[in-house]
Amino acid sequence: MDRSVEGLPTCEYLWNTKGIVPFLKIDKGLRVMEAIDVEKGGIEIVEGESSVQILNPIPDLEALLQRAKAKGVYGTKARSLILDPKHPEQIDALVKQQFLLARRVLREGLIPIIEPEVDVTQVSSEKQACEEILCRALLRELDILKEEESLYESDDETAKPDSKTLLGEALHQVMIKISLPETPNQYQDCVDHPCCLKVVALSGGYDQTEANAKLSLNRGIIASFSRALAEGLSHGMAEDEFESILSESLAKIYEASSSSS
Amino acid sequence: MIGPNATINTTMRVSTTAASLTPTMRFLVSLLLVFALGIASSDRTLVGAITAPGGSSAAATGSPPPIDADGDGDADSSVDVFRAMHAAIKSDENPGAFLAALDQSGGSTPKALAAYGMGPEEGSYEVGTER
Repeated sequence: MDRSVEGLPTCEYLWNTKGIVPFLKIDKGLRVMEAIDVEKGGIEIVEGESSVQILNPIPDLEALLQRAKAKGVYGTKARSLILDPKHPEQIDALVKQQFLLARRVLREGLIPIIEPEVDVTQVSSEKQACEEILCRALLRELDILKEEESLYESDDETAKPDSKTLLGEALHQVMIKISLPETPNQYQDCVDHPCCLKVVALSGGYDQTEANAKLSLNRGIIASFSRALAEGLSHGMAEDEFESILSESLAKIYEASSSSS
Repeated sequence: MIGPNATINTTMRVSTTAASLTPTMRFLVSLLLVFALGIASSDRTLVGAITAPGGSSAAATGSPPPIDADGDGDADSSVDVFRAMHAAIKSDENPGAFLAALDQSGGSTPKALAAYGMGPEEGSYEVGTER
């Protein structure tokens, strides 16, 4: 974010030269949920039974967000992890933590990507259970956000958008990044929710072919692939082979994202 | 959005430590490197991002705006830029557009580059240095 590319600040280069909307990864890694979280109004945790990994504290977050905003960053991303469905209340708490962070991001005029990844290495039935719990929790939080939006639109002059927050509608919209679900269209209600700007899907261990196949079954969700996008690429390759493989990957992922619209 | 018409800039200059790579690999490495924000002091990085389709050729579908996108005669403000980005994200005109999640950080950059066959051995690349 602080660097330059071909003489331009990175975000300016990405948007003005490449048409790329820049996001900033803001999380500082994950931790298991501990009993201490109970003291902060959290839930009871039995030692050694953590179904999730939640976000570590992010020091100086507002300063970072303000700096990012000044640099032309559009949004942020923070990833947590759901390991199993044994403790639904922990999944609820994970989602609540994500939305608390999202509000801080929105307040600084950036759009948050909430990423509650579900471990794809679980057995299918457990992964599906996680996704059902997660989807319900996401919808609850989105509904709360919608309720807050209606309060925001009240007569309180101090709550009016300023130049920092820019768009009234953007103030209460988040993006959600999920693992490709076991049940197609599991997250359809999130896709359709007025406080959800976009739902994107991570490849999360699925290879490109499988990830594209799953993605195409989910209406309104587009790809947010890393490993699947870079699949097959290697620095030892000849340039034309590299470009050929990357171009083919882009086209296939694009098609899978299109067919899910 | 990255789409079938996206162009890949193979002429981007990179640090001398990556000079031995082909131009395309230089691009990829530099893409990864530019996503590494202050590796020595921070784990925060730019995520790979959603792109406008077709590079500079499709203004209607969220491609990079000209300096005066709103045609008001003034250079675009940060508000104008945000609005244009927001419009690109919301747009349904390019339904296949997606995110390239090439986010990197101090912890994950070496692992990501290792996946490309670039180990951390001395001289293979530098992380966290200014160009």
